[in-house]
Formats: sequence, structure tokens, C-alpha cells
Amino acid sequence: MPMAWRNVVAALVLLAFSVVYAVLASDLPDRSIPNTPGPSFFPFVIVTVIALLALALLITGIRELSAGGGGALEGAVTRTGWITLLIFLIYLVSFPFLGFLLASIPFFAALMVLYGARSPMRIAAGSLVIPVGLYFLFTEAFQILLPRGPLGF
Amino acid sequence: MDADVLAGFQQSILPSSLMATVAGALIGLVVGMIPGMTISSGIIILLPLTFVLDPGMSIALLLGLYVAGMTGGSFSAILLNIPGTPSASATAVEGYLLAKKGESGRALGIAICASFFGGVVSFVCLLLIAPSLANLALEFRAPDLFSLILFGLTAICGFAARSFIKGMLSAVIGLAIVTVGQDPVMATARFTFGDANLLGGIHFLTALIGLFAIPQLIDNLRPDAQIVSRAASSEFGSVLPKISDLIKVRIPAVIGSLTGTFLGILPGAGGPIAAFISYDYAKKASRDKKDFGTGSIEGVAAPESANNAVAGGALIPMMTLGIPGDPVTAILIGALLIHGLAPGPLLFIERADFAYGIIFSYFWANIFNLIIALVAIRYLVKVLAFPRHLLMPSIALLCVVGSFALRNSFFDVYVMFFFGLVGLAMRWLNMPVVPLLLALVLGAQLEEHLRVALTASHGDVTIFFTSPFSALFLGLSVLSIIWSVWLERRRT
Repeated sequence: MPMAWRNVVAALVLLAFSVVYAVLASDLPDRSIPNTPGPSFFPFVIVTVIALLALALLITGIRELSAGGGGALEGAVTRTGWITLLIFLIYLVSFPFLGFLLASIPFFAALMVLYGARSPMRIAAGSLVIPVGLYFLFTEAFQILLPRGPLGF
Repeated sequence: MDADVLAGFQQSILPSSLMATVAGALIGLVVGMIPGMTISSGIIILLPLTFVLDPGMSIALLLGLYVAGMTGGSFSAILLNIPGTPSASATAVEGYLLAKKGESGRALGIAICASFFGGVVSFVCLLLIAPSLANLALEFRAPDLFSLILFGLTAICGFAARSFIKGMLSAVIGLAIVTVGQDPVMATARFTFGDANLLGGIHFLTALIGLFAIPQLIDNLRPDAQIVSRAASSEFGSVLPKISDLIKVRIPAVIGSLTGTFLGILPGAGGPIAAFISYDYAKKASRDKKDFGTGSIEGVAAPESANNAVAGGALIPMMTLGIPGDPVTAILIGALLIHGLAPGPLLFIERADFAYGIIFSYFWANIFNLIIALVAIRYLVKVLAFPRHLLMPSIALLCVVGSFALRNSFFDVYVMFFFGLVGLAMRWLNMPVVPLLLALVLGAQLEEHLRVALTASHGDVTIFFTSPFSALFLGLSVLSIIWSVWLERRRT
């Protein structure tokens, strides 16, 4: 997608955000002394600036589109990247329930595969040694609590 | 003041502080060297450690990493023509050409020594300027502080972004995020939707981890990021520079050191800008201009001294005004805040010994960077062969640990991931991340000073123009906006 289109999309999203943000800000309680700014003052300043800048971005995008729009650009995330993000999300959702170790071992193994590891032995070794090592390093050496799972670790 | 200077020096030479500096320098050289990893990534890796170490050790560790990371970037720039850090991009121009001529050892030695020189010059500036600037900053009132922070944000938008609109949007979105939680003046809950987790607001360190680390993890999945390390097996001669080479690069090193220190003070200017500007100046000032473009050691010395000098320069506004110049100093602020120490002019009043301790730790970081780099470079470059399929998943785990350990909160981990997605969206838009990060760090103060100033003046906005400091900073803000727009128009 050319950058001009991206700018237009982003500008519209930001304008919609501005509307929602302004509505929420208008619901904030006004506890200020007269002639002094209350809790909603700064949000209203921010939303005004965002709206103006989004409008400028929209105009810039439309102008660029009218001028041809430019070539398509590479996306920020490849297909493998999206898979990685999905795996990351699954890991984070399971993290509180399974605990650090039980959640991290399969997560680490999956990432190793995505980053190019192919040897099953290497994947098994890496996904056991490093998460376990990090677990003991942080919990025992640095005394940083990490969530424990149903098996007590 | 002399007692504080001595106390700070004594703190910096405690065995624990020195060991932390050495460890930080070692990690920094490694992290800086690996293309695809940035100094910020390295600091994110060490962040959980800083929660449990005492403040002096934490800062010594992070400073060691900061300084050495800048130098480490030059190793892969010279050996592989791939800068390990963005700041080493200018070094690759001449450094790799020298390597192709079989002079990689010479180039590496000059890079290391020039880095040291730049670091020491900026240390001297830091030692001389910071206390005076801190004293001056004590005179600042709410309008002045508001205008100063505004200047910092507008300056960074200009430096960090090719598009001024996108730079400003990044900053203002950051300010909007900061409004989540309790308002800094009246503690009114804003945009929390009744959720206790949001009452504490978004911690900027959590956001920083997500903004920098997640996009980097995704970037490193690309096939062209899978680098075969030729450097791991490459041989190079002695890295100890000859006296004649050191004499030859004295002027570019001075140019780089002073340029880097000055640009380091400006928020957002950063290593890459300082490095290229210094390279340009050094070329103009050189008697051997014809060597540039064919492998010039002056072309290595200038950017390397500049990018290390930036580190010391960036510490000046960080310590005296609480304004970070780049993501690394933003993290340093976070590390100090975690230990209950607020950077700013009061640090030099209430904890002057600690402030000087930081300054001297920076000095030791440069010393150990020099020694370790010269002695161990032959072994360190072998790290370039470390498999990415082990490194990147490890970083992913450390991101999760770092986010969780901050407040023992799963919510922070989800926030980290969310900001990772935000970082990817910003990449998609070619929108810089640094203004958003700085807005997260400074936004609460910006609002507080604005509202306090307007409360004191009963809503009269002329208070921002009647104070000379405030008027100056507002004028500089306007100038930086005009300059940024002009620069953008010139590029297009």
C-alpha cells in the first residue's frame, strides 16, 4: 500500500480517536477553581492538536494520492511476523495460568523454529535450558518473583 | 560541593560499582556489535537486574552498557559494513573500506581510541556544565519548566522525523496516553473505565520495551537479517594504534567530540546525526581529502568520537533538567525513578554525592570500554556467530520478565505487547517512536507545570511570555518547528 494511502487511513483513524477521546474527556469531573484549568483541560488541548495534525495528514495524503500516490511499500510485518505475534499473544494469555516455565518452554521452542532452527535436538535443548536457566537466574539469584503455574514452578 | 565531588568519586570506585561498570561495558560491546540489536535492547535486557541492585550499581551497569554499546557498533560496521548500531552508520563509510584494504585492525584501533577520546571530552563537559546548569535550573518556575519541556518535545520532533507532522503526532499521541490514570494535579481518575490497573497509568518503561523490542523481534525474522558472520573467522592485525595515526586523527577526534557533546545535549539529535555531521566537518577540515571515500582513518575517528561524546552530552539535560535526550537516557531516568531518585536540579541539591557518582561512573565506563575493547576484541567478535534462533527468543522472554517484574503485574505485560503493536503500526506509517517515548516520560510534568502556572496566574496565559526563560524556550520551540518544516520542504 502506498504511503499516501497509509497516511489517509491513519488520519481517519486519528480523527475518529479524537472524537471518542473528546467525548470521554467531556465526561470528566470539573473540580477546578474558577479561571483555573481542571482535569479535562489538558486532554482537550491534546485532542485539539491531534485533530488538527490528523487533518493536516489527511490533506497531505489526499494531495499525494491526487499526484499519483507513489509506489506500494513493503508491509511492516511479514506473514511469519504475524504468526510470531499470534504465538506471542497465546503465550501471554497462558502465562498467568501456566506460570513462567510451563508457558515459556513451548513458546521458546516455537520462536526457535520461526527464527530458523531445524534440528529437533537443538530446539529441545534450547527451549529447556534457556527458560529454565532464566527462571532460576531471576527467582534465585535476583530474587525477582515470577508467576508459578499449577505444578508449583 | 567539593565534599560531594569526593563522595561521588568514592562511590564510583567502590568495587561493586566498578564491577558493574565492567559487566555493563562487556555486555554493551557485545550488544552494540550485533546488527539488529540496539543499545536500547541491551538495556531492556538488563532492566530487571536494576530493580534488585542498589542505585549506584544499577546506573554504573547501564552507563557501562551505554558507552560500550556505541563503540561496539563500529566493530560490525568496519568488519561487515553493517553498523551494529545506527550511530555507527558513518563509521562504516570509511571503516569498511579500510577493512577491504586489509587494515581492519588499524580501523578498529582508531575507532576504539576515538570513542574513548569523545567520551572523555564529554565527561569533562558534563562535570563542568552539569552543576552550573542545575543551579540555573533551580531558578526555573512552572512556566519556565513547561516551556522547556515543550521545547524538548518540539526539538525531538524535528530531529527524529522526516515528516514534521508525523513527529508531532507521535509526541501528541504520547501525551494522550499519559492522561490515562490519575491527573497529576488533582489526582482525578481519567480514562480508567473503572479499572484499578489503569489507575496507576501506563508505565513508560513498559511502553518502551514494547515499542522497541517487539518491532525488532519482528524485523529479525526477515531473511536478510540472518547474517552469516564472516567476521567471526576473519583475522585482523594488531588493534593498538600507531602514534602517527593518533596524531593524524587528533583534529577529527576533537571535531567529533565537541560536535557530539553539543548535539547530545539537544533532545533527539542523537548519535547518527552527530556522527554524520562530524564526518562532514572532518572531511572539510582534512588536509588529505582525497583519502575520504577510499578508506580514511580520519573518517573513522570523527564519527566514533562524536557518537560516544553524544552519550555524555545527553547526560547533561537528563541529570540537570530531567529531560532525556534519547531512549537510553529515558531508561536511565526510569532506573533512577525506580530507586526513588528523581533526576533534575534537586538531585544536585539533595543527593549531590550520588549525582557526582553518576558522572564519575560515566568516566569509568569510558576507561573500561577502552581497555576491554582493545584487549578482548578478537574474542568478542566471535559473538557475531551466536545463533539468532537462540538470541531472539531469549530477548522475547526477557521482555516479558522485564515488564512483569516492574510492578509484579500481568497487566504491564499486556501493555508491553500492546505497545509492540503500536510500534509496528508506527513503522507502517514511517512515524518515529522516540517523540512518543519522550512524551510518555515528560507528559505528566508538562501538564503539571502548565496547570500550576495557569493556576498561579488565574488563567492568564501571558505568564508564559513575561518570564524571560519561558519566553526564550517558547521562542526556541517556534524556531525548532520552523526549522523542521523548512528542512522537510528542502528534502522534498
